[in-house]
Amino acid sequence: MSLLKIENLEVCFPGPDGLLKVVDGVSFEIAEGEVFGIVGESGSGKTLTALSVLKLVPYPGRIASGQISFKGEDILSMSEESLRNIRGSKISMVFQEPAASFDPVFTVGSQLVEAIRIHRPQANARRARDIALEYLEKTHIQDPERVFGEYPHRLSGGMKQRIMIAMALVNSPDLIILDEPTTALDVTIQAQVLDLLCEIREAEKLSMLFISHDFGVIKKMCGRVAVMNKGKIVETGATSRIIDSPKEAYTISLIESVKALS
Amino acid sequence: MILDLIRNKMAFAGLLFIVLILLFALFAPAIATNDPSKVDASSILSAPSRDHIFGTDMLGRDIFSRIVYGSRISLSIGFIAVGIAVLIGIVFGSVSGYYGGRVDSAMMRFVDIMLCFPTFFLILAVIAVLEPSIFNIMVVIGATSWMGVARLVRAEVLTLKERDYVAAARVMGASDLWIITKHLIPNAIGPVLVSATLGVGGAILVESALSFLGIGVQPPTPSWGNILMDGKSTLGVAWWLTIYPGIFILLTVLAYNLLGEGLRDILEPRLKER
Amino acid sequence: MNMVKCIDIKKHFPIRRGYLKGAAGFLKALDGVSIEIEKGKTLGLVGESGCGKTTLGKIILGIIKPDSGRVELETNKLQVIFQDPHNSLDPKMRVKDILSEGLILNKESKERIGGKIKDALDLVRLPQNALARYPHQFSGGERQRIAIARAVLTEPELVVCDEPVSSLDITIQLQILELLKDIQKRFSMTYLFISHDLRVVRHMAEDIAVMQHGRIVEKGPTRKVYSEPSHPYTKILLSSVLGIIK
Repeated sequence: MSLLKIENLEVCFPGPDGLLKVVDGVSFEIAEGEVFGIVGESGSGKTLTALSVLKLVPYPGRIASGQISFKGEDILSMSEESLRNIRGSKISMVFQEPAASFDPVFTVGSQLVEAIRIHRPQANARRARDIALEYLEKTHIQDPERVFGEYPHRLSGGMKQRIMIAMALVNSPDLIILDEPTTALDVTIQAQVLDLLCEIREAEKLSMLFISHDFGVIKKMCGRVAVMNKGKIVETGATSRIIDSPKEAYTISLIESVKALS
Repeated sequence: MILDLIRNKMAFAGLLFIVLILLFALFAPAIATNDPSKVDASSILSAPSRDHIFGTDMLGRDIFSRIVYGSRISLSIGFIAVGIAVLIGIVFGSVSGYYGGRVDSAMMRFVDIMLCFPTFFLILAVIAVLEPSIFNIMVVIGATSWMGVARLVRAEVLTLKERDYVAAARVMGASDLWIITKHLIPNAIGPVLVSATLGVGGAILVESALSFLGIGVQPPTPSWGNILMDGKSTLGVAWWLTIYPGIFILLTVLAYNLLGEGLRDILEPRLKER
Repeated sequence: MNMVKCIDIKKHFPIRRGYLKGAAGFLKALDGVSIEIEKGKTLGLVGESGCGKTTLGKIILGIIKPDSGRVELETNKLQVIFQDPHNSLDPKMRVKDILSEGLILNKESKERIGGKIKDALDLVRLPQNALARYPHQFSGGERQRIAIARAVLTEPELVVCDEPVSSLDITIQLQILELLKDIQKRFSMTYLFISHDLRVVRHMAEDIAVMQHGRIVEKGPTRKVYSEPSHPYTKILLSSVLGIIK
């Protein structure tokens, strides 16, 4: 059985001339333990597709139709309360801008503890702190005790993104959604963070939905990929197959541009 | 932008009322039912009637006509005082923000000092020394209310001057004056427009208060403030002398505030989201 | 012949901790940088964020002054193309005014300005009706074309391109890079091409300089630096690039 199944997803935003379909009939499945990629250029609808999985499409947009089932449960018909139990625990998310993902007035430690205790209120402060430190170590943060007490602005972008990943892992999710997690980072840091993600995936047998505009990153991370353009999935398949022999005109031109710059 | 304004009902209502008062001011002779300074001993303090829809004062002058003519004074003081404030504020703020450093520190400390004066008493003192003419009132209100605009413009300029288009202009050989007038001020004008609109309401209030205290616009020239003052002594017998100019002051200030708030929502949508 | 020569440029920014206090330390944005660019060629300047590459570009353009060191320029006709086309075009100006600004500053006559602007739009392949519109009415790629047209109009001999394609989608990146190359050939301009993206720099530059922490750690012909990097940092940088061809 697939972990996540999306069928005919449509997301609409009110535009100047009626509703604008930003995601238009998107369907795909992610199997247990799989890393599935969505690649596309800006405005292709890839981020909104990801946000739909947690029913987090920002106002005034809304999910117009479609079905999203996670472990056989229908996400779109769930109550807000059951959704909250899934968000950050069964499905967690890492965003592009590590700087914007943290609240600047709290230490990263207290934000990690908060993430843990939202879903495990029975864990006391001591226990939550231990879990947080354990995951900081797992994401190869040196001197986790010190970093635990630091404020976000004192840490580099790469560090913040590692902590973000730790935060996404603390509640042992089944699926992590990563939306351009390395786009804001320098190349050398990007390489380290991607290596970390590969390692974690092996260790925790995690499934990932990996969103990127960069075919190089997708190739490194994902077994299968969907190419999105103007709200539609143009082509889905094994990453190596798409890169070596793309079928659709859009994919062909995209791959050509990437190759010209490689 | 005009469409947005029509969509924003409160702001549009404010705009309509302001236009109405503007029409009053522009076509005062045609709209007024009587000569505003014509003394009529036969109808002293008469209640609102068909001849005098807002009644008459203790000299038998028609209140409605006085309010219509008074709108000229109130509006022109509002506009010109705010115009002066905006002009000083823009020049001061943009120079301060653009040059930064010691210039900025010195100029902003001056703003702080200006803000320490209780403005209304400063105006009172200045008017007491000079004579209370309409011109003096405009200048004094303008010269004591520019600090807000200056701070606003400075804050905008501080961020705008780091934009790449400013650097691009500098590479092409643009002078400081060119950069300030062509790039910085046009981009900083949105919030100034909002604050100016709100400021007109404030200036009208100050003028009314001054006239009410008898050191504003001098009789026989009618202004909303001095009509109100005339009504003070007869409030018990002739309510219309106080209520009508009061309502006009209230509605006009409210209209400017509504329009200002509306403009803020339209020009700075990011503020609305918060 | 060299179009630009930078000799031992240093620029330190004071780090202040709090108001009215002196500098708590110095950020060494540039710590003794020397580069030269041959006339008509492109020097690619690569490095990660905060390495000082943008500061060097601004010093060459004369927007900021170095603390020490010399910039020798063969020309005073300089231009710049920035990364973020949202930020580099004045949002309150029509394209027509954006393009004519440099020419007005050069005191050209009105008639000549009109003609030149039309030619420049053709050059960057934008329609003539673009003139009456505002920057926000264009896509990122189109805005970058407007920025290029503005740069070309003043007939510069040296153009500093600071991450000119970094905020664009890859297919658009390629179009803009080709346009830049095309224009360079046609007007025999010299480029300083600043980028964090080694793939883009390889596409554009004959020579390359690699920067780290305010210093040039390696420089040489692009092909050589890519095939036989000598400095460890260059090696890390190159191995971090994720291509799709193995």
